[in-house]
Amino acid sequence: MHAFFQHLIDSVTVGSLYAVMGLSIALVFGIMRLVNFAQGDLVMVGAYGSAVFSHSPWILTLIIVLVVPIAFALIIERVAFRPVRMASDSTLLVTSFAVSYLLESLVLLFLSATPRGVNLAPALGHSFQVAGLFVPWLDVATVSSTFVLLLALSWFLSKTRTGVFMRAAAEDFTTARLMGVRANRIIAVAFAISGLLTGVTAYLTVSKTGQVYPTMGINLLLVAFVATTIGGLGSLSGAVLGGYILGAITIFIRAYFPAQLANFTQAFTYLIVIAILVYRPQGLLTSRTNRTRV
Amino acid sequence: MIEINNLCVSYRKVPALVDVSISVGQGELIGLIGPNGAGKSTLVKAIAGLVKPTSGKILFDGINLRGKYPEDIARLGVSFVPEGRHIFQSLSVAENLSLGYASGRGYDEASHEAVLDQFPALRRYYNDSAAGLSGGEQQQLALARALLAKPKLLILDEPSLGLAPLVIESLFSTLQKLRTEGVTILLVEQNASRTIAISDRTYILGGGRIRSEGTAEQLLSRKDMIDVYLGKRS
Repeated sequence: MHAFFQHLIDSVTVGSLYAVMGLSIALVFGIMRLVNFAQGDLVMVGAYGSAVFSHSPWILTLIIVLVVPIAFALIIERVAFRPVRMASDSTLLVTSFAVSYLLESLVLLFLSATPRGVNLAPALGHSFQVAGLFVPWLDVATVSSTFVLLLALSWFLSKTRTGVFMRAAAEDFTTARLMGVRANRIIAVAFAISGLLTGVTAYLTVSKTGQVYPTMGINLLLVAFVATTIGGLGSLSGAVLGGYILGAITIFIRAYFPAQLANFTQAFTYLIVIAILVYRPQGLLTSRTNRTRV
Repeated sequence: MIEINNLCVSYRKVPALVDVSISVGQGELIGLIGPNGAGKSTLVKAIAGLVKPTSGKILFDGINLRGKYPEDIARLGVSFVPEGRHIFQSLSVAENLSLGYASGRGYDEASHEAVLDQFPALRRYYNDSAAGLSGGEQQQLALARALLAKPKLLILDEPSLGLAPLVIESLFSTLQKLRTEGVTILLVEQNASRTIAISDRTYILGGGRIRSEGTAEQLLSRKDMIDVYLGKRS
């Protein structure tokens, strides 16, 4: 029983990371009908920001890690996606792959391919004990910052005018524009928020792994993409739910699988994912939005 | 107010509008009728910026609307209520109404209340999901949302489509009331006789061209014209 709760803590922590990353994908998808595969590389870019500024005061490092992905998200939107916004979905998808390779190549060109060690937040490396359970401070930071982000995002989307316009645009972009909602602005806001979410992901990931390398975002992106698909692509609460479900599946399979099958834990994780999608192809929570794009 | 000169629109080289010229003056209620496929929706979509004309001019208060984004046209004071109403189903009634302020008009309590007073159903379901509204109530919501923008020109694309006869009755009386309040309206309708009756002037569109234009008396004296383009049922 004791071990079970220890795994539960792990799965909530991992699930939080997936949820935040999943949200950043779902937010852009909701508005643009674009799965931005460069989102993982925004995590990488933010992580490199932390590596370059790792010896600065922690608050400055944190700000850098949050601001760099936001800036890159806005630049990508303006330079890469806006010119092809009216093109077909597959054009947008290919563009996102191109941006992804470009960001990785830039890092290879100006920095290096070898992983760098970064000790971001040494204070978060400690843990405390409660009822016999070990709780790393980093886990507390991960889960609590996720909750703060979720609360802030839902407040923004339901209580602010821009948030309501974003939800309207996600449902029916053309009608929102006919009402006077500025397409460019609403899409830029969506990219900025998703940049912030990837920045948080970057900070927490680097704090956990202590490493940055050019392809570090790819795996995270795939996992988050799977999470949003389980939850129902386009639905924000679905992305969060999918993140936590995927986190739990991953941790518990790793924990309770026979040791001789250890190499196949990932295969079994995705077997369960496939089973969920066979049962509900549209995802667990489906968005009511219709499939219109800008 | 709005002056359209020799407007041509083609969909992949198939002409939808050919040399269409219409004008709507300040405070007028102008009808636009014609059979299915006549190009009525294309014309108003071109004004709203949803369809790109191949040639011609759309002058709104002297500004050429051609090539402008839909949101910029809305911000200039053109409110377009599209066919099928396009209520945001995932938003509440209140949130749908807040879209009326997206075109840059500031919220002002008195006029907000005045609009709500015209549509009591919206006040009743103010904080409920808009998805639960009936067809007539959704049309009221779409109309209220457009009016909150205090439009200089209100364009309605087939507002009576799919509504029950009694609801259509109240819709048309609302439109007449708006006209007396000085709202400039361009009304696209299938319901020909009704539209001719309440409009200052009505354009008849057929096969992408303006076939006739005039006041109720002028058009009704040319009954043959209406029969040809709209069929006897109307």
